[in-house]
Amino acid sequence: MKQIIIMVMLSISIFANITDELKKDLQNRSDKVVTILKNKNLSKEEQNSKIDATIKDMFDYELMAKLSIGKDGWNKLKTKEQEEYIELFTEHIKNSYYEKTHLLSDEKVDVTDAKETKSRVYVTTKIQGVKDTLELVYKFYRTKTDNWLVYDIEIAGVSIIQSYRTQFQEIIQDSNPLKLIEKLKELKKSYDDRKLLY
Amino acid sequence: MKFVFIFIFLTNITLFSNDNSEIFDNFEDEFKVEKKDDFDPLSGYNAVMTDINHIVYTKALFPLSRCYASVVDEDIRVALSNFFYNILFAKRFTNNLLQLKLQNSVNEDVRFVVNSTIGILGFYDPASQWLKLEKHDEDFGQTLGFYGIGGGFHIVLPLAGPSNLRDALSLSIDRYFDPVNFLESDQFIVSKTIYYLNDGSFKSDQYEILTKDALELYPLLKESYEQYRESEIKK
Repeated sequence: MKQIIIMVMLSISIFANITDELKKDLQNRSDKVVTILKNKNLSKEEQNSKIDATIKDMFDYELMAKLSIGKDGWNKLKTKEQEEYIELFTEHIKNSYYEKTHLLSDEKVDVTDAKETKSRVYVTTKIQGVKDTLELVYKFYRTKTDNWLVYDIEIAGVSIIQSYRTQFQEIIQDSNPLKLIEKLKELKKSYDDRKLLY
Repeated sequence: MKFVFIFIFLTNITLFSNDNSEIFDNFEDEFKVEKKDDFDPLSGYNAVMTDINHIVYTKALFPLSRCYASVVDEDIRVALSNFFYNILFAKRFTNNLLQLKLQNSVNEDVRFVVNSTIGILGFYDPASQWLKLEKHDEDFGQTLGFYGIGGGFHIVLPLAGPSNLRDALSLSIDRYFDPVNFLESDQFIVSKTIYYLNDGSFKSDQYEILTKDALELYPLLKESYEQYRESEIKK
């Protein structure tokens, strides 16, 4: 009995520590990203690669890609196409993240809250702008290897994965799933073209 | 021994082959599946109006707003935005009250009194800065949503952008709470022009953030609007 109580206490304290740990970790990373963005000596390319190094092990890009296309869409792709899709999606979501953060460069980020539900932890951050506050919720899940990774972000109540899902389904329903890969390639090209303007 | 080996081997195969399926099943209830029969009777019109609005915003309104922002100092733009926000107090107060969010109505009341007096006719926002009183923006569409009335089909309004049946109809109620609507026609036009230019100077970046990586503009804006409204109603 004593052992059970100790185990329950331990697991509670481990869990409490995890929400605190994720909050602390996200605040650290957010502060680092803001510092990188404020460093005007760096080119945009340099800033992006530093941001990438700061945040990349926090996201499960592969899972985000799979959730965005959904089970049916995923199963319609052949293995080679699935690999290509994941690669293109990962690049797309990273580019999208960089471009969005560059537009938020003068803001202050505060991690305000962390909530636990089942094997998920939702960490809320608030970005203070000149006029309004923007709320971002980072959604973490526990991996099989006991890591905590982000699988979705909610921006002002809007889930980015759900938004991708709706758009991707529109493309897949109207034509074949390869059209999605083509569209992601087009977006990659337009991003690369914009990069030349830096 | 052989049995154990076969068992482990088979379990591994099953686990491996179910890996993706398991991933999807674990997360499936968190994301809704857009069905083909999603009731969107105006989808053709909506898609065209979304494209028209996009052109008007990106080619006319936002460039004008950016010119305006380059001439008018940010502090003045924030003050004007505060002013227009403050005069819509009655809408927020009433809708908080209709949703029985009494504390929020009281906060809105205090915010209005403080900002209209100490905040000089609402150009400043000491209620947020000093008293840390949060804004509780509520409109009639949110009130109907609070009482369980769904959004209905999606409607894209000219200039105003994404909306739905419930929210579009609610605008006819909300307009009675906006003092600008009771001005003489020339004063009304001047006020609305200043409002849209000023508002656009803040919203252009937000719109750009949202639409820059769009694969399909109409589904993206529709989904974002509906999700945003749902989350506002739940607050």
